[in-house]
Amino acid sequence: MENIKLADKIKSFAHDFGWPRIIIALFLLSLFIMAPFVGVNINTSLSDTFNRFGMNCIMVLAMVPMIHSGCGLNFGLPLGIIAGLLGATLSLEFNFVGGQSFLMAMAFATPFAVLFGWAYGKLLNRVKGGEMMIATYVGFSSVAFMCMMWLLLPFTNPTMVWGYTGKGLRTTISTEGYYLHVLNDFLAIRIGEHFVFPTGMVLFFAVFALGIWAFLHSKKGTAMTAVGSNSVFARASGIDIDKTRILSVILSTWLGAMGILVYQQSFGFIQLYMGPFFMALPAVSAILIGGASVNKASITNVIVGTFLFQGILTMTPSVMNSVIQTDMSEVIRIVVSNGMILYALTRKTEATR
Amino acid sequence: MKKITFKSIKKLIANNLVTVLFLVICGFGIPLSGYSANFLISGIIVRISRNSFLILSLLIPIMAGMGLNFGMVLGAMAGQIGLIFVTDWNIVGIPAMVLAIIISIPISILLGQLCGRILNKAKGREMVTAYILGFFMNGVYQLVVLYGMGSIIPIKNTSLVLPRGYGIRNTVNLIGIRQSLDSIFNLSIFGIKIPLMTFIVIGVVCVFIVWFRKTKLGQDMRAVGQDMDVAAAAGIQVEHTRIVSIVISTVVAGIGMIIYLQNIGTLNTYNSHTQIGMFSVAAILVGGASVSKANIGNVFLGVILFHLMFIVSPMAGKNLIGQAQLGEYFRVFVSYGVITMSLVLYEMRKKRENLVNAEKLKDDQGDSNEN
Amino acid sequence: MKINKRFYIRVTAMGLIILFAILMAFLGKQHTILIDNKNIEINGVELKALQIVEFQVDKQPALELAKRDRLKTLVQGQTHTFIITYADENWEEFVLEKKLKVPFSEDMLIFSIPAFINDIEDVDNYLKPFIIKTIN
Repeated sequence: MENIKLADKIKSFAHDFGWPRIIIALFLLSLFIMAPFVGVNINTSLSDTFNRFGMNCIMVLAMVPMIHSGCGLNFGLPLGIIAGLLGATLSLEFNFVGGQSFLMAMAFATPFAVLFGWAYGKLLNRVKGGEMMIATYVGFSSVAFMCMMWLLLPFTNPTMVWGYTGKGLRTTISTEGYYLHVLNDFLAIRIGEHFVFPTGMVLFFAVFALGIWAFLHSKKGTAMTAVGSNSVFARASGIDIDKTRILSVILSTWLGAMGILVYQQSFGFIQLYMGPFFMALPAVSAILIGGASVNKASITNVIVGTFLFQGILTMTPSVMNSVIQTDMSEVIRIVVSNGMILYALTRKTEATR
Repeated sequence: MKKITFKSIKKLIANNLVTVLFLVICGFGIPLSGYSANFLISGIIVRISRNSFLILSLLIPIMAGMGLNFGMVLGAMAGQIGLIFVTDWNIVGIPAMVLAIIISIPISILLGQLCGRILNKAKGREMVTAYILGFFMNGVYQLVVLYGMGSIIPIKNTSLVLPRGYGIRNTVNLIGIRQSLDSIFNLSIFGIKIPLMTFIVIGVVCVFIVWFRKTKLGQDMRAVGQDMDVAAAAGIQVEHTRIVSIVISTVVAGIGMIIYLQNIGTLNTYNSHTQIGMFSVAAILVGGASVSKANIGNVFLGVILFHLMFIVSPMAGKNLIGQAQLGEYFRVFVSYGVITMSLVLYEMRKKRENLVNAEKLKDDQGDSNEN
Repeated sequence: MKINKRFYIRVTAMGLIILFAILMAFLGKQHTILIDNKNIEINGVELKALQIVEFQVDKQPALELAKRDRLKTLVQGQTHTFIITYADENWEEFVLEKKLKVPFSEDMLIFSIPAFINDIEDVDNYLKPFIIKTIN
C-alpha cells in the first residue's frame, strides 16, 4: 500500500511540477557531475553560476508583480531596463563614483521607472486580454525610440560619448571607475583560489526579495493577487482593478530598472542602443523554469528558476565543449529558453488568458 | 449619395489611423530625402516584386482568426533549406527555383502542422505563441544547418561548408538563381525595369486567394475566424481547419522566401529569415489590415507605403539632423511602433465592439421584458 | 490508412511530383567545362596542341584558345553541341561538331581539344571529370 501511495505522490508531483522542469533540473545536475571529469573546475563553475544568478535575479523578480495582477508575462521589461539605463547614464554624466554612483543611478532611475510604468500600465489597462503581445512590441518600440535618443541627448562625459565627434553616446560604456563590482565585492566570500561568492549582490537581492514578499502579503499586495486570480471577486471587494494593475506595472518596471543596474555593476558595461532589445526573454524563461505559470508566480520560482537557467548557461559551454568538441551553447540556450516559454503558453491554466 | 461630411472624414481617419499616419510620414520623408521619383519608383517596384508573396501568406491565417502569423518564419526557413540543397547540387536557373520550392513544400507542411498544433493549444494567445515559436524554431534550424549539414546530412559542395568541416557558411552565394524569375520577360518603361514574370506569379497567387475564399474550406475558415463556438456547432472541424490555415500560410511563405532570395541573390544563412516576419506583419498593418481583417488591397498598399518609408528614412534623417544612422533607427522605431499601435487599436476596438454588442443585447432584453 | 481511390490518386500525384523534381534537376544542373589546348598523352601517343583554335559550346559566343591555354565555360543541362574550328599546317580550315551528353553527377569536366581532334568518337579520352586537388 505504502509503495503505491509513494508512486502516486511522485507522479502527481511530476505532473504538477512539469516534465520540462524536471528534465532541465536533471540536465543541470548531470552537467555539474560531469564537470570534474572533463577538466572543468567545479569551484569556478559554481562561482560563475552564483555570479550570473545575482546578475539576473532582480530582473526575474520583476516578473512577479505583473504575473500576480493578471497582466501576464512582462515582455515589456525593456521599458524598465531603459529607465535603469537613463539612471546609469545620468549618474555617470554627473561624475559620481563608487558606491555613491550606484546609489545615484538608482535614484535617477526611479522617477523614470515610475513614469514609464505608469504610462505603460495605463496602456495595458486599455488592452486587457492582449497584454503579452502588446508588451513585447511596446518593449521593442521603446528600445528603438531610445536608440534615436541616445544619439541626440546632450551628454558630455568623455567616457560616454563618441571620441571623434563628441556627440552621441557610445554603444557600450564601461562601468570601471564608477560602480564596477560595487556590490559583488561587498563582503565577498573567497574560498580557495577559484571560488568567489558575490555576497553583496546576493544580499541586495535578498533585501528586494524580502521587500516584495512583504508587499505581496500586505493589504495592497493581496489585493493585487486577487485582481489577478479572480477579478470579479476583487471588484466585489471594492478593489480598484485598474489602479492595482498600474501599481503592479510600475513595480515591475522599477524592479527592471534596479535589475539592470545590478547586472551592469557585475558585467562591467552599460549596453545602450539595441542592447536591451531581447533582454525580456531570459527573464521570462527563468521564472517559467522556476515553476511559475502565466498567472501564478512566487519568490521561490524566481530563485529556483534563475539558478537553473543561469546554471545551464554557464555550464553548457564549458562542459559540452570538452565532451563534444563543439560549441552548441548558443543553440541550446535558444532551444531551452524559448521552449520553456512555449510550454508555459500552451498549458491550460486556471484563467483563460 | 453619402455626404462627405467632416464627421465621416474623421471616422475614415480613425478607422485607418495607421495608414494615414504612414502617408503623413512618407509625405514628409520623400521631399526630405531628396531622392528622384525615378529612383523611388524603381525601388518600390523591386520591393513589391520581392516582398508581396511573403506578405500574401499572412492573409489566410487572419481569415481563420489566428491573428498575425509570426510563424511564417518557419516557412521562410523551409524555403532556405530548399535553396541550400539546390545550391549544393549545383542546379541553376528556373529549374533550380522550382526544385527548391518542391523541396521546401514538405518541410513547410511539417512545420506548419507543428505550428498549428501548438497554436491550438494556446487559444487566445496565438500571436505571442507564434512569435516565440519562431525563435524556438530558429534554434532548431541552427541545429540542422549549423551542425547537421555537412556531418549527418551530406553536403557535396565544400565551398558551402564552414572551414571546420560541417555547418553551412554564413553567406551562400545564390548566383545560380539570381534574378532568374525576375529576368524572364524583361520589361522597361521609361527606364524602370519591371520584372513581369514575378508579377504574373504574384497575380496567380492573388487569384488563388480570391478563389480559395469561395471554396468550402475557405468558408469554413471564415466561420472559424468569426466565432469558433458557432463554427463548431455548425459541424466544422475547428482544430483541423485552423491547422490547415497555418499550413497553407507556411507553404506560401516558403515559396515567398525563395522569390525574395532570388531577387537579392545572396542568402544570409542565419539572418535572412529573422526579420522577415516582423517586416511583413508591419507592412500588412500599414496597408490597413487588422488582426482580424485583411484583404489583398492591404497587402499592396502596405508594401508600397512601408517600403517607401524604409527607403526614404536614412537619407531623410541625414538631411534633417545630419546623421543617416538616425534615419535608420527611425525606421526601426516606426516599424515596431506601427505594429504596437495597430495591436493596441485592435484591442481597443474589440473592447468597444463588445461593449456595444452587450448594450444592444441589454436593450433587446429590456424591450422583450417590457412586452 | 484506407487503400481506396483517394489513396491511389495521392500516391500518383506524389510520384508525378517526384518525377517532375528529377526533371527539374536534370534541366537545371550546371557543369563547369574546362577547355584545354595542351599537349596530352593518350595510350603513349603524344598529341600536340594547336597554334590557335576556336571553340564553341551550344549558342555561347566562340572562345579562342592559343597553345597551352585553358579556358572555363558554364553549361546548363545534359546534352550539348561542341563545335571546334581550326586550321592545320596547310591553312585548311576544319570544322568539327559533336553532340555529347554530360554525366549528371560531375560538377567539373575537362575537355581536351587535341584529343578531340585526334579521335572524335573516343569520348572517354577527351571529356573527363575533373577533380580539384585539395591540399590537406
